[in-house]
Amino acid sequence: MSDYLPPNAFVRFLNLMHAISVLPVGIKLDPQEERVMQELGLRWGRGDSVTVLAAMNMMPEASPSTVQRRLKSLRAKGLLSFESAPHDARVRHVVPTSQATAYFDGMSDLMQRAVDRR
Amino acid sequence: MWPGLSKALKAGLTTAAMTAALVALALGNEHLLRATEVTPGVNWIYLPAGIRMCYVLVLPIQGTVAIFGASLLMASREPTFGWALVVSSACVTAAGPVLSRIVAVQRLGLQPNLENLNFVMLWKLAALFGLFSTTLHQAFYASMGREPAFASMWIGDTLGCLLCLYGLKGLAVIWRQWNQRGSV
Repeated sequence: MSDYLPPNAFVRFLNLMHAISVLPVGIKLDPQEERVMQELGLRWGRGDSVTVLAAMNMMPEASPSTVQRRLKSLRAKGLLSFESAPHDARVRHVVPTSQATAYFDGMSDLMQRAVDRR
Repeated sequence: MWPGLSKALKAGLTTAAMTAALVALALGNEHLLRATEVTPGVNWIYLPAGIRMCYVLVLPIQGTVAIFGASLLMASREPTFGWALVVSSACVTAAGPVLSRIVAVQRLGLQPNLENLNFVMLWKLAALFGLFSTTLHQAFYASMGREPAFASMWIGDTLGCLLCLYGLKGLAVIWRQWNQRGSV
């Protein structure tokens, strides 16, 4: 840390940027993107790490190239990112962003509100 | 970074850069959003409010000095302002964000290191920063006999703050995509 800035300035900056990054933007997902997010959410929820290759083959009803296009569009929308595996740079993992966490939180909230209305 | 420079000089250069960025954004807002001006100094959209909030949240002391300095420069362009009014105007501009931060920490439960900052808190902070800035500025303008424009200034500051935050979010997304381009 620079000696001329407060010691926790960088922590504050990171916290601010994180809060800004999860500002809701009303992202529109097409049905296939929603399906990809659901499948990924199931795996992330179990604590599995998902490689790009595994993600491309995780949906029997869609071809790998279709899923790959959806992965790219979801990355463009800021919902996921790809990270190289620490042991092998050729293996890339699909990881959720803070935007994805906010997306799943929003879905849980909607479900809760629907249940409360009954 | 900057080896050989004293700590005070580095802090001064950082503050000067922050001041310059704020002045640039204020001038940009003044020229690009001239159509949204209600009365002199009051806009329906005032983007620098967002940068002021970020400054005071991350670097409270240097941010306040930067806001004061930028306001001094902006107010000194006003031909009807004497030096006392220029300094008073800068004090009013710098006091709003500081008071808002204090209230946010003491009343809204914001942690000083911002660890519990989320998007709901950001919205509340934008409204709070706008409220304090508007109240102080309108009191200052009233003392000078200017017509009141409380609602438009509060909306302008809050809206500008939110637009600025969403602009930063967009830049962060573009930056991330730029770094990840060409890879799957």
